[in-house]
Amino acid sequence: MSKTEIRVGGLGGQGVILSAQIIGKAASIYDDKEATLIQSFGPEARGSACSAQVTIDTETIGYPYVKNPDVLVVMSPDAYAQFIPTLKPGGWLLYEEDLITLDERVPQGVKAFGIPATRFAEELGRRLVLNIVMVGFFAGVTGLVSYEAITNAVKTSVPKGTEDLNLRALARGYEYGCELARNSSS
Amino acid sequence: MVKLEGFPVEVTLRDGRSVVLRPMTAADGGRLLEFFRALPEEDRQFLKEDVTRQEVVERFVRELDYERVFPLLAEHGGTIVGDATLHRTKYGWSTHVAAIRMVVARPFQRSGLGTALARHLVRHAVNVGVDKMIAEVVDNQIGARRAFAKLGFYEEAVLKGQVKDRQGIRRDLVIMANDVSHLWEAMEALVADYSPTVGE
Amino acid sequence: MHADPRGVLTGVHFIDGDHAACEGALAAGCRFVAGYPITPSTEVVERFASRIPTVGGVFIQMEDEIASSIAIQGAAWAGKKVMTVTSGPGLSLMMEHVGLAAITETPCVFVDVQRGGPSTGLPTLPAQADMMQVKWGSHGDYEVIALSPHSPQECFDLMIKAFNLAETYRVPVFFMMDEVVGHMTERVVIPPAEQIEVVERRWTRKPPGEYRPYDTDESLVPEMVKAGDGYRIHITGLTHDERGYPAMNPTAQDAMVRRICAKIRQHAEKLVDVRMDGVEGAEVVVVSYGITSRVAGAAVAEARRRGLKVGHLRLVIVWPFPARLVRELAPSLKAFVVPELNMGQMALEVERAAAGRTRTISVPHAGGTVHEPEAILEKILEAAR
Repeated sequence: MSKTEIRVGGLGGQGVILSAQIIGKAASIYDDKEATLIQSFGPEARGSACSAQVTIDTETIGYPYVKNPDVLVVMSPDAYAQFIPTLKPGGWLLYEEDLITLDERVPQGVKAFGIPATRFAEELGRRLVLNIVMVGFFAGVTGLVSYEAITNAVKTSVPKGTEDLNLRALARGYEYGCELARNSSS
Repeated sequence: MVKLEGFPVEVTLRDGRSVVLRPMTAADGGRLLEFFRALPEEDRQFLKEDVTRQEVVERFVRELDYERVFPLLAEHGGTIVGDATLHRTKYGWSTHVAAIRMVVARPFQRSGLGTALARHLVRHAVNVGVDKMIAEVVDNQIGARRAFAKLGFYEEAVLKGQVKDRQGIRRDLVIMANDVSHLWEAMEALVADYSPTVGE
Repeated sequence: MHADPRGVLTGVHFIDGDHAACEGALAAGCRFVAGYPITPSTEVVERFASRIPTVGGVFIQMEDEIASSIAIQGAAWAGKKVMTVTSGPGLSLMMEHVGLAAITETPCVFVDVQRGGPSTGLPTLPAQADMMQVKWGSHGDYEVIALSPHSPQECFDLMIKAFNLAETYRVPVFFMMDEVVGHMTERVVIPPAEQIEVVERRWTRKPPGEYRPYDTDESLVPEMVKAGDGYRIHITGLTHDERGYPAMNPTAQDAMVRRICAKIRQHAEKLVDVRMDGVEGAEVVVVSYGITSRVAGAAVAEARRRGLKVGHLRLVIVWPFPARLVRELAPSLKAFVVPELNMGQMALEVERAAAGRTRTISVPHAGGTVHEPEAILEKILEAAR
């Protein structure tokens, strides 16, 4: 496996940075790969765009920035608009389908997968686990991190006492992702 | 449908006996009735209905709805020896609060079963997004008050003379509460996505 | 000797450079930090403050950076390993006290998480424009040591080295991070305490009356005492003699200044810490440090793919500058290429050390973001012509 560049984007308050951290942690601590995470915040406390860049590689990562991601994960229409032009043709697009409508800007050959992550989170009991659902979805669709690794990463990244609900959110997203990926390849 | 994580679970008590904690199912009607009938009357008094009557238990079975009442049973060798329930409302101003009620068969009291039942019920409550739990204990139920205190419950309110025991003596009802919203506040801070040090 | 296990967070972590730097300080034995919050360094002291209830130690948020830079020196003379954390504007305020640390030979670590400048500049974005300031910022003649980490793991590892160097040489040591390395998250492995070597302060064994604070042996580094040990000492920023008392005459000035400069210059070879890749037989060598070294690496790799013999020399210890190494490499090269997030600072040192034996091509940058690898590649190609 060579270098994979991932961009996660959304609005402040959706847990964009946390989800990128979990992916990076899963890859670098539990899956024995290298990972580098760089984040960008908007100046306001909530509601402004924020994004994270995660690079995963089997070798030491030198240049840590993501210009043209292989995988774009977006949770808000602004993030979609901002980053869709950068997605590599043939790459993966993972998006919150209740909030984002795809259009002709999606590059050629991109494998697009949508998930109603906010709705799933609310069904599970807490809207704010939406980003964990997206993380599970990412793992299920792309297979870039193992389920075991991402489970351990979630367990060690959320406040004590909230692990059970977060792990259920992870499983929900993961199963949905695996299913969509299966259906698209068959 | 709420997916139930972490059940059934096997628990070893202080005296070495092993019990299984699991949610009640429709098949448990008969055994639940036996459990209630085996309880001495004073242990049943906190309940709002006469659970020794078959039609009452049959209604429990018929109206089984985990999102309204989640019953966690303790089973030992095929017999029910404990019952803890989590009560929520789906409508109104207290949908974020759940009430815990619990009763343990005499031979299994003071063995840690109550604490185990309560602990798993609290875990389930946090799991389904409850913000706050309350438990009603009578002032002289020292064991129960200690068990809940160990689980993070604190004494929030006292309803004076609310309860009449079998001798007709009025006792205070203590409302113990466990507010777990801080757990979710911690999670909210994690997903806040803003740099606290932006600025000069 | 080994690190105190209480301060060592053994394990594998996924944390950013600021956090790793804090853990490095704790592992090194740092137990007193005085600071004033300034972006992008604040996380270092925030973490320190949250860790000390478990580890022990003191953190004081002082009223400003001037106070911070002197509070740590008081604590150092009380026997502690000390650190302050800041960025460019704060470092400027600290400059007078840097001089005091130099002349009193107080071991202390100054962490500078560099950001865009000058003045208030770009608080949340990177630069590497304080490199000359840490060497020359205070008035007078003195020597310092400065390190430049390029990853969160190095923020941990090199912090320990920074504290060890401060104790070994009794100088202010500067830890030159930048906003990107500070906020970049990567795996950081923290080994068990028994595997971490820390240098203890050279406490004197001489009794009170016999001990003189600035007596030295051939190492040129004096032994130290701490307040409360029963020694009557006088430590001053005025020019002083071996007893530490003010001695305001040219002879004392000559002896003191020459020694505190020689203390480092004499050991310059021991203080060379670089990472060299493909330098042997190269026609062009890229000299870089900190975050720029990671971008430069991509440019070097591309240049090699195009058939050029390009070496990469990464400075880990930036001051004292490895002049002899650069001077010896120079004759065989077409040029040095020096990319930095500033308008050409260490490039001046490279050029000086090369002494005209080869070209030095600076790749300047006003800061705010990192170089594009293509910009560095372009200069490498130009150098190779």
